[in-house]
Amino acid sequence: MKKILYISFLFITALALVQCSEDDNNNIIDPEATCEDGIQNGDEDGIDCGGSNCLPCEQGPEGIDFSGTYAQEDQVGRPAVSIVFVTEGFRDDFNTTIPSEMNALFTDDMLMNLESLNPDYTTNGGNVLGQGATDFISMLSNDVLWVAQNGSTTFFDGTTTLTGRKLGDDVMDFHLMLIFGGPDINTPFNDGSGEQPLLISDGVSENDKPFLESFPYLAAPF
Amino acid sequence: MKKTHIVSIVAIGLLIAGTPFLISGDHIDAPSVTGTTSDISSFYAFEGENSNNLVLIANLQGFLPSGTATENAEFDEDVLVEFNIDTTGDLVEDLVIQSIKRGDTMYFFGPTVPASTGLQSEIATFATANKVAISEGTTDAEAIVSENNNMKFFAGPRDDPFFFDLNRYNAIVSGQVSDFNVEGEDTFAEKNVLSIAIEIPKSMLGAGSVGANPFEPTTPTYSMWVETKRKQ
Repeated sequence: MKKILYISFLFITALALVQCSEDDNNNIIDPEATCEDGIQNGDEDGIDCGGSNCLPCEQGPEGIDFSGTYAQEDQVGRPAVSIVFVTEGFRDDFNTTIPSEMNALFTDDMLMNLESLNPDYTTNGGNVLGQGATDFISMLSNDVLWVAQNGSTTFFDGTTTLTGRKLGDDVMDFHLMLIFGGPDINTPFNDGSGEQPLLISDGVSENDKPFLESFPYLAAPF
Repeated sequence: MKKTHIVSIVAIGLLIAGTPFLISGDHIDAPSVTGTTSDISSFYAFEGENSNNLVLIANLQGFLPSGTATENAEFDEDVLVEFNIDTTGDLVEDLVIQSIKRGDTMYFFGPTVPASTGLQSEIATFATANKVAISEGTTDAEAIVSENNNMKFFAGPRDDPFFFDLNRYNAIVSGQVSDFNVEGEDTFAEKNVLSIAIEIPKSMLGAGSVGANPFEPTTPTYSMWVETKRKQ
């Protein structure tokens, strides 16, 4: 019973404080700003907190608890690196390694995976980016996505290379081309012609739903 | 007295949010993140409709089928999703944008210089804060977007933008078949993901580093990646 009374008291106190903060907003710096409009305005230090009118931000916006330490479980930079090159045996380690240490730790394992995917990689003369096996894997084992500060952002569009990743980029075909296609994009290996298997394209070139032209760009859920 | 104050603040937060307080869900301490709430399926970064902006998208919890699985899918309040931005080319994050769910809302902090780099993070409540209501997961649901501090925010289920004949690839790798079909089958078709999207002025991220990308040696470039981190 005592506990119920105590909680009721807290609730009434809470209501009173809300009322108080609303009243206070009549004479503040920015008459548009309130402590419950969902944006940081007036002299607030965060969303609806801090400043001369709202509750303090010590626990983050709206008094919600954002405290604590968060430890890494997964990481992704470039597409498909984990599908293709980071196999079960070292995937958990890879996911909990900072990018600046990945190269030293995982290049050897990833080179073995390239070798097993395409034993002819070196014999065929590397890839269309002019990379031998070690250069190719050293690039991928630093698992970050390069993103151009200006100009075209694309994984590969025929002229621009690795400057970002758009929603519609056929990133898997580009990866397959790098792994199986050899150095000449116009006469690639493994293109399905003659006796050769088709390994440079998975035969899926676009998403099953069109993307939006404006934010958030992603198509609505199925 | 201090405790009373804290509880009152929480109560006010609930009143303002107008939603019941959600206690975070069960932990699944699997050795791998596959299939867990921290599993990142993909990361996108590209120039926005407005060429002064960049768009960053992290997708989590892939392979959600349409219907109740997508409608009931939830971001985890214990999982911090952190966009890392290296502006100098040394593979160490100079800026982060953090996002984490509380109640029915996704909160965003940054871009900001993180208190510390690496595998452990604290939430940068000292940084610019923004939020957006998490969108619904029903078929063809409208996206709820918030816009503030020249940035745009979205969080919620979306169609998985990734396309690949993963089943055929796995069959090739395991030796069952020798190559792809000319007409492949998109393993990710009609599957949804939980998406977090941010559109941000490039000016907030600084100049970038010339030479980071050897294939575009004169283009100033950021190195970016996304991480999920679980509350300890």
